[in-house]
Amino acid sequence: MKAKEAPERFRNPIGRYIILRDPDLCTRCGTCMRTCPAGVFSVTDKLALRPRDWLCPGPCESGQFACVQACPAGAITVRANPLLNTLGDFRWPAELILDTWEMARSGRTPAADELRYNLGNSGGGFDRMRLRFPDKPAKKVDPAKVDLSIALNRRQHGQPLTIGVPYYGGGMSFGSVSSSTMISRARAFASLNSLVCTGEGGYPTVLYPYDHHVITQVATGLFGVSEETIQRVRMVEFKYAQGAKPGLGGHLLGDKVTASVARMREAVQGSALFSPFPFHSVYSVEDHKKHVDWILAINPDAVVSVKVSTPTDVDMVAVGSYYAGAHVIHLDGSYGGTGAAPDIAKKNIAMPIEYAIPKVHGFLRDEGVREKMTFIASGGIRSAHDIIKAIALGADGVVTGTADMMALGCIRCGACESGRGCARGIATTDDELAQQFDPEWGAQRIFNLFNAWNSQLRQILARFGLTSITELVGRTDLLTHLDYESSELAHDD
Amino acid sequence: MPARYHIIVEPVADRFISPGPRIAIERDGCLGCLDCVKRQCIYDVFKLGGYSPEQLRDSADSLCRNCLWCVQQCKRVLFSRQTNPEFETMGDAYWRPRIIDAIWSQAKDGRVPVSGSGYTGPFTGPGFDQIWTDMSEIVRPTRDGIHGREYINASVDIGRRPSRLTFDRTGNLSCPDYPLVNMSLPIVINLLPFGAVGESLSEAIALAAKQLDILAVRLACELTEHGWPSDTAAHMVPYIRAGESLEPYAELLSQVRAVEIDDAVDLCERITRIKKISARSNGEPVVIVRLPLTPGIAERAVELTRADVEALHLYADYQGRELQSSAGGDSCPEVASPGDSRFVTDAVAEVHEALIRAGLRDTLSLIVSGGIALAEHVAKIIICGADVAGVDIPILLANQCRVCLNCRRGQPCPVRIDTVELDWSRQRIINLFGSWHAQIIEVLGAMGLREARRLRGESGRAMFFRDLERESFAPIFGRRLDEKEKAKSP
Repeated sequence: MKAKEAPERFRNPIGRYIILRDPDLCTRCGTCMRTCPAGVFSVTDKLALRPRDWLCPGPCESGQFACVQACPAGAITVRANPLLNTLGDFRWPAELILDTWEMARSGRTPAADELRYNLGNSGGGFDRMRLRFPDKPAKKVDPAKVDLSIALNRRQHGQPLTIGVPYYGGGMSFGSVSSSTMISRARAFASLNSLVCTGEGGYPTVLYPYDHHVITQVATGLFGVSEETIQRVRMVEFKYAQGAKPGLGGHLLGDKVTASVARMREAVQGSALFSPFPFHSVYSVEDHKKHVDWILAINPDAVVSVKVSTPTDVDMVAVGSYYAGAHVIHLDGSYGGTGAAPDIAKKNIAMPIEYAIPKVHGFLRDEGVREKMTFIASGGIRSAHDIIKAIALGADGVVTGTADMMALGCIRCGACESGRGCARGIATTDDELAQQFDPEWGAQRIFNLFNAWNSQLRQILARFGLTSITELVGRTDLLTHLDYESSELAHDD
Repeated sequence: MPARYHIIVEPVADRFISPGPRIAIERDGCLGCLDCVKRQCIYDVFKLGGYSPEQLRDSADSLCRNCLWCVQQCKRVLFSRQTNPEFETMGDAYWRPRIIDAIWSQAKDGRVPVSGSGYTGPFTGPGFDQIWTDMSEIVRPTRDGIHGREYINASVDIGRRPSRLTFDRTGNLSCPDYPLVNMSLPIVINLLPFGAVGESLSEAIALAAKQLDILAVRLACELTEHGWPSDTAAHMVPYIRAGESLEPYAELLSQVRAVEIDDAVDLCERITRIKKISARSNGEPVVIVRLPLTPGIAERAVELTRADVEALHLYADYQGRELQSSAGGDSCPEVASPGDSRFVTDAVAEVHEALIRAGLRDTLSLIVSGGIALAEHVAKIIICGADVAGVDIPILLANQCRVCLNCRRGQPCPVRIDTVELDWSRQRIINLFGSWHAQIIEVLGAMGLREARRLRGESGRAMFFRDLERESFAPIFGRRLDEKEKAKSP
């Protein structure tokens, strides 16, 4: 797959500006069309189309809107779009959403300042950290030659497994998202030579063509888990907890258990499905090892990942997973995404991933097992900078989820769980709503976003003078935090 | 095993259309096309909503889930949305619009607020938002408790306990047999700091307290003047102000299980007097001493505990800030403390720790009120050392109060709280606490706890912003800047 234009699927895409052309004044001279570098206007002598104002990136180089200046009839007005004030939130501000959509559309990095599409407005964690670029890298690196791949198996047992990018797709079950969404993600991650997780909801046959790039999840409800599904894949993920609702398990509301979902999960249509927390057979590292051994007995080649949340003793949990024989420890921080979770859990339970990464990285290192364990972080990874920050704090790679949804046109209205599900056809199994986009378009959008991220990751690593993402792990010296003393040092440099 | 505690919630419609966070804009120019986006709305907002000429508000604005379908699909681009200034200017710096809105919706349907996508708020914030609660990856099957197989108990006791049992030569108990009030939720309804409270709301509070099996603090003079619904006396806590004579309340005191009084020089005599005149057949009431949460109050709390006081009610201002002085004995402070006062969590932790150091913590109960706005605040104040949370303003909010404070200025209440219907109001309060109960159980379940009383003072079950920053970030980034230095930083 190559990056190529994948236009917005809604008739009226959302832009930063509202551009109006007064039809009574316009003479259809075409000046605006020739002036605008962004292709907002389309005018012939017979017809002037509605300005595609969502393409307008802002004032031209002159600092003015050239179209307004140039129109001989004074027919064009530009004003800020008031809708932007209603869009987004602290973690995904409107600017970040719009730029993410732009990357998903074009596959390219936006022309704006890099902080605009790399920061949220949450006032802490990643959003207060900045990258510390040296004036001159110690080594001259060609961005095109930077290696983004990471190895997921660093242990003696199991087959080697390397993915082409330092991230893979987090678990989203069939039931919580539509099959179009699932296929879109699978195709995109397969094209990136990465992986995508099924979540806990069975292994739909539509994913069979992507077996090589699928992680199948074993969670407490064991929905749709069978020996056959475990043998299909190269990586199996145990989900102990999810960052958005740590300690609460999963809950698929009855409305979402449609006939096809019920069949997949071997359950009854229309009745809510609980994936009860925790694994009732696991009370110790030994029990945990029994779990891992069980998977390895069925599929000896499998790489086993353990997904946990971020309690205060997360470091002990991580080292426990090592001794249980897992290859990958995956921490899902408390601000991660979900299809449905109590607000009290999303906000309050467990710690944000930013704190957990250095804590676990340091603990695994002190225990002498860091090199044998792959450490994956998730729960609020929104941009290329977030990936860089997570890895520099000590992770080997990250998992995405919400970002993929954004590429498909999510607006974070948070109504995934209500009634028929997502109005935008992403997180729904409603037959009608799920038809809104086809997987080909969806895969292109997700691929485009990650293509833009990849080029940013390569650029950033080259600016650091690093040739591989693996050299970045634990390089906290490349970060600064605006609320700390070190930020003053950074300014003195 | 006792009968399971269960709160029966049922949807109760709003009396007034609440302001929604956003307002719809619909421009002129509709051509009447056949595939109108209004018909496509999956939430039927255009069908169900409508403009109320009396209330000057459109209910569509609070029904809309902001999916932007109409905005993005209308062929003529007639729709847009903008933020609603009326929503955004509600409340104050503490009782923020989002908090008010959350309480409204819980009072309306009694459900735990659930949504998709990750947390949307700021990384951290002042007050309670400095604390995250813990979870346990593998211990105890408490998740089942939420759905019925195993019981998570949210009940707590108010009263004094002997530090150890003592027996006389004949083997009989020789330590005092203190009265103890058991409640099914770690919640007491506190005096309301403002609000045009009429008789129906007062009665609704009494009935709700009884139904919920909790206690409600009420002014003793009001209780004797207006009475209370039959059978609710055991759930009323009359508050008798310092200086008020106790004798007129003899009958009331003989019916209640607990009473609140102010701290005063003649405190011990008053307590003895109360115990004496309340010749209640099934035991004397627990006497709770109301103490303003001021700097240095920990010392007084220890003193009172040594003097055998059974329970303390520590009250902060209505925004959860420590009070500056106890002068005036204002038992229900209306005016907010200065912004740099300590938050109730820190102030309570100090009292809790002082009592531990004195070896007295387990001998009495602490009720803490001021700024408790959400279910998570109940859990967090208990983690900081309270046994019970006192809840006030959310009672008004359940009745659709907007914290406009018109009542304080002598202006009419925009939602006519004085005229609420008894049954409506009672069920709204039940719904709110039904939702809170379910949420408290979620939080306890995540921690692997089966009892709310075991959460008290369990600061190890919480993570504090300052500790996490120090442990995870200080080794990397050095010293954290203070607020003044931060202001200079970009």
